[in-house]
Amino acid sequence: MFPLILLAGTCAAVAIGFLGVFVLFRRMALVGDALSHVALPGVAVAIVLGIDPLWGALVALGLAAVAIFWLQKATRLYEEAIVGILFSIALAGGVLLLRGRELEAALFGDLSSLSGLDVGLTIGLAVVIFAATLALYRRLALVSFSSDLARANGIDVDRVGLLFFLLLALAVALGVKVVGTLLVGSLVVIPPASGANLARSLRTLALLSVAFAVGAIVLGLVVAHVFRFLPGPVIVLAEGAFFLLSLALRPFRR
Amino acid sequence: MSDVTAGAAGEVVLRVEHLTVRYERQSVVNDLSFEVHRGDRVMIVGPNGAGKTTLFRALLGFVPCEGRIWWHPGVSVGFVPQGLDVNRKFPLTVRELFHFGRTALAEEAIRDGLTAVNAAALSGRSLATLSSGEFQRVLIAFALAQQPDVLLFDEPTSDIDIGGQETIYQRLESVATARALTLLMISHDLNVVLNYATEVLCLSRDFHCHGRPIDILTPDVLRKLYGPGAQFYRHTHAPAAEGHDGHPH
Repeated sequence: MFPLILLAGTCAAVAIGFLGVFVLFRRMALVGDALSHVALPGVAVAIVLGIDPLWGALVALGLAAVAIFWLQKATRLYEEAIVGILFSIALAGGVLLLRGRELEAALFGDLSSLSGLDVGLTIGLAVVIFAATLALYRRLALVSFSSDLARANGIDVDRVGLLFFLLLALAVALGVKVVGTLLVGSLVVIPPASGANLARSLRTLALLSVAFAVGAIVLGLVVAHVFRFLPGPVIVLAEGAFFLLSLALRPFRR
Repeated sequence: MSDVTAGAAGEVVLRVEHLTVRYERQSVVNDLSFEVHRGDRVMIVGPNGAGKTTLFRALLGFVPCEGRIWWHPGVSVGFVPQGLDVNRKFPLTVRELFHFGRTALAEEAIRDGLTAVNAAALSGRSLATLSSGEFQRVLIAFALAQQPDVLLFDEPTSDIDIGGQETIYQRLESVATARALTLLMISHDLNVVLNYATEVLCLSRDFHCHGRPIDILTPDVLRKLYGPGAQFYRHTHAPAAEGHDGHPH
C-alpha cells in the first residue's frame, strides 16, 4: 500500500505546488489556510456518515467558495475578512461533531487508511487541478499581475477569479486528505514561497514550487512511515526545512 | 483596420455624449461630451479628483455610467494604467509578461512593441529589477504589442524623471504617426501637452472644454481648471504651468 500512498501524495504535491504559485501571486496565502478550516465540518459529517472525508471536504469547500465569492460581491468586506468569519464558525462546528481519533485524523490527515479507490480519486483530482491551472495559466497570470490590464485585455476577471477560487477549494480538499485540515494551508503557501526566494521568473518559480512540494511530501511520508509518526506534521516540517534551505541558497541565486 | 485615415480630420473613432459617472451618488464625471478622430493625440488635463482616470475606466467599460460611449465598430483599445495596482515584486520577466493574456501574441508583435519604446533590451529582465521609467516603458510596450487602434495612457503623476518622459512622448508620437494610432493621454505636464497634443480635453468637476492646445490652454481656462492660484509662465523652449514641482531643465 505504501508505494500507492507515495504516488497519490506525489500527484497531490505536483497539483498543489503548481496552483500555489498563483495563491502567492494573488496574495491569497491566508485564504488557502482559512479555506482548509472550512473543510472541517464537511470532513466531520462525512466521517459521521461513514463516507470518504474527501467528499465531505469537497462539498463544504465548494459551498464555502461560492459563499465567499458571493459575500465579497454583496458586502464591502475583504476576501480575507469573509474567509476569516466563515472559517472560525466552520472550525467550531467541525470540532464539536468529532471525537478522539476521528478528530485527530480530520485535523492532521490520515493517508495510512487510503483504499485503492481513494488513491484513484486523489490522483484524478490532482490531474484535474493541474490541467485546469495549466489551461488558465496565461489568463490567471495576467489577472494576478493586474486586474486592470486583464480587463483591458478582454478577460472576464470575475470569472477567472471564481474558477481560481474553486480550484483552490479543490486543492485544499485534496490537501486535507494528505496533511489534514489544520496544516493544509501550508501546502499551498510554503513551497511557492520557498521558490520565490530563489526564482527570478514565473516559470522557474513554478518548477521550484512543484519540486519543493514533491520533495517535502515524499520525505515526510517516508520519515513518518519509518518512524510511525503522523505524516501531516512531518510533511509540514519538511516544507519548513526546504524553506530554510531556499533562504540559505538565496544569496547564490543567479 | 483597412479604412484608416490618418490625421486630425480622420473619421470619428470615439464619441462620448452626456457621460456621467457616479461613485456613491456623487458624480465624478458630469455631463461630458466630446469626439475623437482617428490619428488624434488627445491629452486630458485637469486637477486631481477631476475624474480623468474615472473617464478612462468608463471608456474601457470598467465602471457603470450614464450617457453614451460609442466606439467605432472593430476598434481595439489598448490601456496603460498608472501602474498602481500592479504587483511588481513577484518573480516575473518582461518576456513572460508579454505571453500573458487571452490570446497569444506573435513574437513579431512583441518585438515591435518593445522596440517602439526602446525597450527591446529589457526583454530578459526581471520586473523587480526595472526602474520606474523602464517599467512604464514595458507597460506601454505591452499595450502596443496587442496592436491597438486607440491607446489610453494614464500617465504616472510623479515618479518618472522628466528626461525619461520627454523621450517617451517623442516615441509615442512617432509610433502614433507610423501606425495611425489614436492616442488618449492623461497628462500632468502642460509642457508635454503643448508639445505633443493635437487636441486637449480639460476636465474639472464643474467645467470642461475641448479643442486645440493653443486655443484651449489660455490663462483664463487654466484659472478655471486649477483655481485662481494657477500661474502660466513660459520657459525659453516651451511653456509650462503650475501644478508640478520645479524640474531642472
